[in-house]
Amino acid sequence: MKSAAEAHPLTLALPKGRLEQDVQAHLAARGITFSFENRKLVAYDPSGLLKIMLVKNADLPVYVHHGIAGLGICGDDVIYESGYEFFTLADLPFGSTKMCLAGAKTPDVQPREDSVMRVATKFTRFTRDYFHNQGVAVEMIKLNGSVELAPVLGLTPYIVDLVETGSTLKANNLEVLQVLQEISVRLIANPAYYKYHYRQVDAFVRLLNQEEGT
Amino acid sequence: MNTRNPGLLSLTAGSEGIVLQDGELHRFLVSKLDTLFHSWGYTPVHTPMADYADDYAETVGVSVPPYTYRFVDREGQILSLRSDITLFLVKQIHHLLKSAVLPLRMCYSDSIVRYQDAIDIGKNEFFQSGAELLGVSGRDGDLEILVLLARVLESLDLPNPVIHVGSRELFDQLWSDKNQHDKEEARKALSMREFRTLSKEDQQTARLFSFIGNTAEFRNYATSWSSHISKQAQVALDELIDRAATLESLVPVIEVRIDLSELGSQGYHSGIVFSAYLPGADSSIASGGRYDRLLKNLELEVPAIGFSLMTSKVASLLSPSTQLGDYHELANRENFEKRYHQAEALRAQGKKVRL
Repeated sequence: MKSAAEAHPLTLALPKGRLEQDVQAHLAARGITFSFENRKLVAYDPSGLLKIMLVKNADLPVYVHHGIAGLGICGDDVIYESGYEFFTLADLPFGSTKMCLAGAKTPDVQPREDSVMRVATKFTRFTRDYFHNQGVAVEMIKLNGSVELAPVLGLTPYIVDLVETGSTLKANNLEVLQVLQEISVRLIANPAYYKYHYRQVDAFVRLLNQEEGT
Repeated sequence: MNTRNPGLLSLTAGSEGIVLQDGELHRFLVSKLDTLFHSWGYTPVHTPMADYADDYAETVGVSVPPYTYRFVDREGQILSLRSDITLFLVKQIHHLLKSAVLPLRMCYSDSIVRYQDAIDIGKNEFFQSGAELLGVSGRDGDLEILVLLARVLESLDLPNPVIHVGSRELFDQLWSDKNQHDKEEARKALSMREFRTLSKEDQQTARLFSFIGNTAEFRNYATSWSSHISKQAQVALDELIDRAATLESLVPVIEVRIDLSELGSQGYHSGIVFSAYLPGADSSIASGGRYDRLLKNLELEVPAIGFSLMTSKVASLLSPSTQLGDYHELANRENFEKRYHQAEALRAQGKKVRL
């Protein structure tokens, strides 16, 4: 007989966008299939193991933090930027990327060496903490997208952003000046949710970590 | 956009009001707790809403938590609003403890104020109820508080609560050769179950702290560790098993788990530490533990243990069967005196009556 903690499916938030297909494929290879019908944002896998919620990537930590979803899959960048604390239960073998400092290959105006570093970024928390840990003062301006435009249009000389292939940077005559952090995709858990449902969650983590087809 | 009455409509972050049905549910819960605490011989205490913040680091040896609101009084002293009742309570009563007849049993139900972002629905709790037992060391003190917490959860008819019990003493023994900074980093990593962030040497020991399970499972698991840990650590391990097993046998309706990643949220914790969880709760609904170290900072050799319950969180998760009962509405719309006498007669029968 199932215990009270095991009577309900685990709740898992998945990010819309670049990771969505990868996660679905990873789960399908381990026997967990599901689909979001008619633009619905909540789905169940037929085995009753998971209730899956499709949420905006940046909002995913909010849902897990408040326990609406007990588990979530997202990148280190999103987790860090949320400022919330989660249990990290597994690293997933896809979607890795790099958080980079980038700037113009040949800047019109060379920034003065003694001036405060000015950076445009979506990742203000990460940028502030990273440079402060390096002992570097930094001025930031928050942008919500197309961050590459900032140096091109002269808003700031530098950007901090995720870089996968670097093709967008190249197209805008920008280059990676420094890789600040490797970003991995993780399975995270609301700590209280994990504590209550640990047996069920541990079984799911073992499934996620299984080699394909085993 | 021009907003009308922004002051009237803005809700303050960091604090909350509890009104109407929520207020009634809250009072129902608090009065249940009061009755239970009273029947166990715990006397109510009320701590002040504000206290001198600078004193804490100096006198109590603990800094006021970062989520505390602070302000400057007219003499230029920094005051903090109450954000943690145990800390305020210890500061308030420490001078009484030198001459007090121990043990002291105290209970409280009070509001707390904690910083929260104005655009975030806070997970914070703004009301705490709890119990503190001062002057009872070891097994008896540990069990009195653990069983009292279990009885609280049982009496509130909460849906399938579990209590996770850990040992800060075990951690302190196993990390006794580390400096304070490394020890605190290790404590945080183990509490967050970030076992990989520890050094290779510490990871061996950390494997022990990954355990969660019932007492029988832990007994089997712990056997293999006996040859790897010091005598003092073994004592802490045996104490933990004893407390969990005894709690299980005394209050069998509450599930008890040994969870070594429960290490207490405060630097002053020592000995047994614990948290309670409920399905659907976004964080623990109660937590506590032994805090002899806090009183030692005040040069008092008084053992202390207690817990606090996140009252609003619990109220929102009470079983649907928790009925507060309806008010009796008087059909008689005659004069006030008649209605009053009729209502009094019904109240004498235990009914709730509105005039």
